[in-house]
Amino acid sequence: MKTILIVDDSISIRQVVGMTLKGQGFDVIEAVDGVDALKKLTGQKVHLIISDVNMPNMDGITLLKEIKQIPAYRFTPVVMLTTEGAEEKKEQGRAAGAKAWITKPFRPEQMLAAVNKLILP
Amino acid sequence: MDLTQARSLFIEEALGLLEVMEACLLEIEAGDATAGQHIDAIFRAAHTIKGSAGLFGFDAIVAFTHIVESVLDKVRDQKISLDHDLCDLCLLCQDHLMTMIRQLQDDSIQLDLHAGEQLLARLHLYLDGKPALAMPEAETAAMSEHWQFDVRYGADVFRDGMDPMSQLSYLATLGTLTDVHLSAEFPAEHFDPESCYLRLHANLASEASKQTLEDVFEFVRDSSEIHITVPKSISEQLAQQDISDEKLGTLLVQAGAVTPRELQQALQAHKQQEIAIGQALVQQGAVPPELISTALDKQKATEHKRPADFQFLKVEARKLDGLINLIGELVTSGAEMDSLLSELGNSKITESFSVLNSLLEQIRDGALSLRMVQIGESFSRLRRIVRDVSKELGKEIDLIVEGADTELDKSMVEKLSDPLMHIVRNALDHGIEPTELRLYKGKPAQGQLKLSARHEAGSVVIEISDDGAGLNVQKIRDKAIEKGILAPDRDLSEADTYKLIFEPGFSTAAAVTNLSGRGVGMDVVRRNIEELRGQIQIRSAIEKGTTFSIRLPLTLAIIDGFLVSVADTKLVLPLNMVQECMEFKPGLQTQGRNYLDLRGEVLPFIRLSDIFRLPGRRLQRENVVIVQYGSDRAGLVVDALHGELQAVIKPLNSMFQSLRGIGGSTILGSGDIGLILDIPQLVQFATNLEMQTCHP
Amino acid sequence: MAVVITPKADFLVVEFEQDLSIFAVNELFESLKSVPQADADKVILDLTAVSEFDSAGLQLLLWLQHSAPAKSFTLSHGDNPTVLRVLNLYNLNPLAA
Repeated sequence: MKTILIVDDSISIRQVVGMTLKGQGFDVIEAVDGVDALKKLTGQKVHLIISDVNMPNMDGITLLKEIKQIPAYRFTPVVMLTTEGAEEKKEQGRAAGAKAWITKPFRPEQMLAAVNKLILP
Repeated sequence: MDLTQARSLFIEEALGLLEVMEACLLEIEAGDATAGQHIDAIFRAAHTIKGSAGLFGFDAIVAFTHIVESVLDKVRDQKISLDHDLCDLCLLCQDHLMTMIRQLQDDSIQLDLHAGEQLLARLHLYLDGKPALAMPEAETAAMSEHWQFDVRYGADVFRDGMDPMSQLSYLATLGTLTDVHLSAEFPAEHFDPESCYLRLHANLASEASKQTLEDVFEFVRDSSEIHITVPKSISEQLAQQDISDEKLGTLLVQAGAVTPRELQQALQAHKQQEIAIGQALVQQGAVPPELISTALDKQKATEHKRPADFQFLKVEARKLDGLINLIGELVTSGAEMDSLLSELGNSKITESFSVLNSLLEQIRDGALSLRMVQIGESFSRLRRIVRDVSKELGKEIDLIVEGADTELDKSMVEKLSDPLMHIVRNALDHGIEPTELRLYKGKPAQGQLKLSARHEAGSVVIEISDDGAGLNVQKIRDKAIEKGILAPDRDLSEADTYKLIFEPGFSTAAAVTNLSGRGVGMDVVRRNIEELRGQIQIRSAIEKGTTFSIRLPLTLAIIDGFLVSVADTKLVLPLNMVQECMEFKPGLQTQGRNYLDLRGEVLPFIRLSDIFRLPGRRLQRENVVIVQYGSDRAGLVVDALHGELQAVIKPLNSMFQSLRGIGGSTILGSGDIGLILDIPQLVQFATNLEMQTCHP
Repeated sequence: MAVVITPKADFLVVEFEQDLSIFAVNELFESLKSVPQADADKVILDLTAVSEFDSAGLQLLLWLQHSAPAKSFTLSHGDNPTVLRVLNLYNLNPLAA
């Protein structure tokens, strides 16, 4: 079973994403911010990371840079959640190596489509 | 909630209605029921499907259902009889409709257009022999050939965390993949295993738009070369026609042959080099030359249809009810256990049981919430109706939705959708004035329609208000007299006059349109609401607008109750309607009248022992429970107060169903029967009683 | 070791362990470099134990075959669903008979 880490400070986003993905047979773990995410990544295999950009403690872009430094996760696909028009953030994200984006607000099926374009269920 | 979801709601609803239609027809055919018993239900199924399908622009379904409905209407008017042959024909039509609806959900279903035409021809024999309407083209013509993909993956694809096989597997969900061919273009030396050298060819039979297909590769688009070739069948569908460059581009995008991104590039090239759009697109490799040479005529934008049904698990309501019943039993036996344990007085067992009990409560709440849905579902369906109807009527409407997250029982939401639709339609049609008139009156050009829902004292209140002309009491009166609903010499209060619009025969739309038509009018609205044990009220002010206020009980299988007793009889009040309790001192009572003085407020009260004629002498010490339903409050005088409990509502035996003031029964922890009071009825009774005393 | 290469009488068995994905390809590549130069004509690629298999891993196998055109490759997958799924998706049947 493939494991997905969802990093977002909003519990509702985590829940919706979690429910959607679990419903499709993915294992989902949650983290509330970048620091928490790095903790959750150790000691288990995560196949895909979905991360919000704006979060307290450690934001998504810093998290992305950190992930690229971890040998076990340097090639793991990361989907960034961003809001409409946050071009500056997007630019920073691209510079940090972000390739996949989902614009908030998104519908569960959009999320699922993005995930399916990145990893096999 | 968006259009896709509204659409799947429509599909679900239509399938449900067709099932009802089928069941009714089968019963009639088998002789288990008469046509008269079921024709209304059958007619309404067809009527509703036609109406909703019209909203979503499913013209083929509208056209077909219209004929079916017309025939059924004749049966309803007893102009023709629903004999065996017609029953059979109706069942065939029901089958055909089922296929049409299912096709919206599943592209692979084939619709037999010829069979549809035959059915229409047979239906027309029952009408006046006019030739059948030409069936509109099927919504999307199946494409015989394949989309071709040629993807040369960029070197960094793997390092970016992308895996080509995920995209391939995603493509497979959009259609049927054939001729998948993977190759690798390895360098002569210095192979880097982390670089990607793969190239993928694949063919796909799909009715997805080019945009959807291009989006499959959205995350590798920047690093890879992606070529998607349009199926030949699309180009063949394009009729030979001279159209301007710009229009050609738009049409190609609509046809799904070109994506907006490609068109944008072509338009840029067009500006810079003054080459034709078509040529630019060919140069870009976006479309084959033949495709441009045959210009697009009537090709409709092919909408890709994939059901968004993965988010929900459909469970048979019967199973859910069974579960809730069982949990009800569990709660009852839990209460019994509780009272036994308190007699036993073993603190360890009591403690352990209280944990069990709190889990039980959670299970109960969870199970009940399974049946609860947000009303937003119905509201968003209304949103579409507002949009379409206002367009149809040429009125500008600002729709405000409040409390879309208010939850109520699923079965209620389903039964509400029709009445809400009628009220909204009515408000748009008759309530809100045409723009010019509004401007003349000094109102904003945009009419306002507000949908709101909220929980209030144990019930759900749904309001639909407009800022239109308001109801004209005199006009309603005149019309009611003209229709013979009201005797000319009768005096009515304003509120009672408004209620006339719910009388059968009052609102019959003059023109047969898609939505209103054939007199499924406000009387049905009231009946539907009353079937849900709800009430509908109208408030209106001339030139300010009208508000329809629907109040529904939160009928649940299990309630939090408050136990009281009168003589030896145990009575349960729904806790959410209980406001406060106090000792009933003679000083509270207004002399000789059924009024009590609650901190200066005058409240009617009733003695439950009088109402239910319960034997027993009046105690020295009585208590009064203040209850509220809606905006009305009343006091109920009882003997003793016993506190809160969970009560599983058991419906009353049909023998007692006409009993006023009692809504059900429950089994108490002690094994006794408790009667659940129907507070709305009692409050109403108290208020009326007091009014009669005032005006004898 | 992510791969075990065992020379048998006249063939070579290349046994992959769990990871045949982008995370392992560099290391695997180093180990596999010797395969094209090996004496054996036949190579058996054993994927039975593979649990992570992606396009990068598949590409490595394609490269191996590409760099040793004279050898005959046989794929042994032991009905491993992870492997079969990838092969089916790409319409690939065992690389060479």
